[in-house]
Amino acid sequence: MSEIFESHIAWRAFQVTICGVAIIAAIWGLSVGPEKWLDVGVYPVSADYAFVLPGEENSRPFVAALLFRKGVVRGVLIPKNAPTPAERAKVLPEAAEVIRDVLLKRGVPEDAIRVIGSETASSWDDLALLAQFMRTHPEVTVLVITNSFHTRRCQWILNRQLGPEAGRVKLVAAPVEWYDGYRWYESREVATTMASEYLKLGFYWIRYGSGLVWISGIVVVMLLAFWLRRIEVCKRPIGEGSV
Amino acid sequence: MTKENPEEVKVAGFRARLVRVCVPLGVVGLVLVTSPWWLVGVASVLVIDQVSEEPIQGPVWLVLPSAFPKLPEAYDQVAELAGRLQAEKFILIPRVPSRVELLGVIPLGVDLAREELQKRGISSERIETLRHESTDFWDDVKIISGLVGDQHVAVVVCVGRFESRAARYVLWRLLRREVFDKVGVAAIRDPRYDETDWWRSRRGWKSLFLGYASLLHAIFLGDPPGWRPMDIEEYENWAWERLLAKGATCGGF
Repeated sequence: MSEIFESHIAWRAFQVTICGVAIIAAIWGLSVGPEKWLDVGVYPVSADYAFVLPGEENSRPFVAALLFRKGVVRGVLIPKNAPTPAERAKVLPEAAEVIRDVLLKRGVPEDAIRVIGSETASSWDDLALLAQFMRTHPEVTVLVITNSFHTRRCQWILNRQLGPEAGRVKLVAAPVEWYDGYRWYESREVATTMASEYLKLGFYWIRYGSGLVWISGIVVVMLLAFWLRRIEVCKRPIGEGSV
Repeated sequence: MTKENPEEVKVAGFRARLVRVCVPLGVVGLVLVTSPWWLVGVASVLVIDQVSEEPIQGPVWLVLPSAFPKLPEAYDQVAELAGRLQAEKFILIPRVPSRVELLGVIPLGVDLAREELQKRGISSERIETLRHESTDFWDDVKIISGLVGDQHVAVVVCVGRFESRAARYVLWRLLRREVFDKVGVAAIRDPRYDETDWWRSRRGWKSLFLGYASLLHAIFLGDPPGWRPMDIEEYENWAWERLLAKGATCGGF
């Protein structure tokens, strides 16, 4: 490897940089925590609606109902997902129906619940639906209820979907007993969920963001630099630069 | 003509070798990454289906573990398997109920399984629901161990396809040799994907990732500490405390 570098100083600088990055990554991984970085949820401030994202129905609708009972929100919005095979076959009720039933049983009146849209299939679709709702209701403020590990991706989606209007939405992290309060190396659930969330963040960056442009740009610049370097080496008379 | 610099010649030679090695390697890598047979191989590592390979002698019990996939096609396969093996009994292991189940919004997993099996012509007397509630698959296997004991039966544990290798490993880790020899794994197929096309669906990717995570976790970290969900009141109090702990520093809208 050291042969790639023209001088001893460049090789040493490369080694020091790699060591530095590894040390910082290790400190971050063990102290601050990659699982905590995912959490951008905030204190629940007063808002017009809570928007309950489907998934993890054992926590999110319960927190939405709690916020309603505490007077933090005036109503609850639920996006309607495309049915899964189990839901299509009526083995299980649909996610929106489950959320609605939990809300009703935990003290939210029927007229405060609104099921919006139809057939969404991902967080991107769910939040696109919310963005559409917010554009048609320009005065409305919303708390999006999800789990801590999902909040960073949601914030990223909202920023892309709503731009400056994203300020009208805040994310509230419904805690889950199998994730919150654990470090990633203490629990399989935390480690798996965290790793999966980072993969999804990468996927979203490439699929919906500027990731593909950045990666293509870096590859092109590297290839160009390599090609120019080869031309330079080929043009140099033999023996030039000898000591 | 000036004299050649040996250092420069060495560097140029190394680069030429690097290009000669990297380009063919890159081409081979690209072919591998885009070839279905290679992708099939990646998923096949996770799959072990002992029922389709070996005939089973004597009475057979089918066990549906606590996290058995709640898919109509999964119950179809269990019913078909039961017919093929002439299963004597179905054992259902209950999971510790979730809050949504406690609230009665969705049925308990074991009740759902019983109903779905009965819909497929299996009589109620052949279905046994155990009393002990399980927190995870490791817990399930401990229950199976106690259940089988010295009985002369063959037990088939029905699990999700990409979890079957991890399940087999856990059985091997926890069961005594004489019990382990009586227990096999049936890999139940998800209608949306299997090892031949998992890369075509998001669910397939997720399932593959979880399959590897379960297997590696089982191998390197072993029996995880099981957790029980809090009851509804307890959860809401805990959740409210955690939300308040965020502190009202961000202000309102």
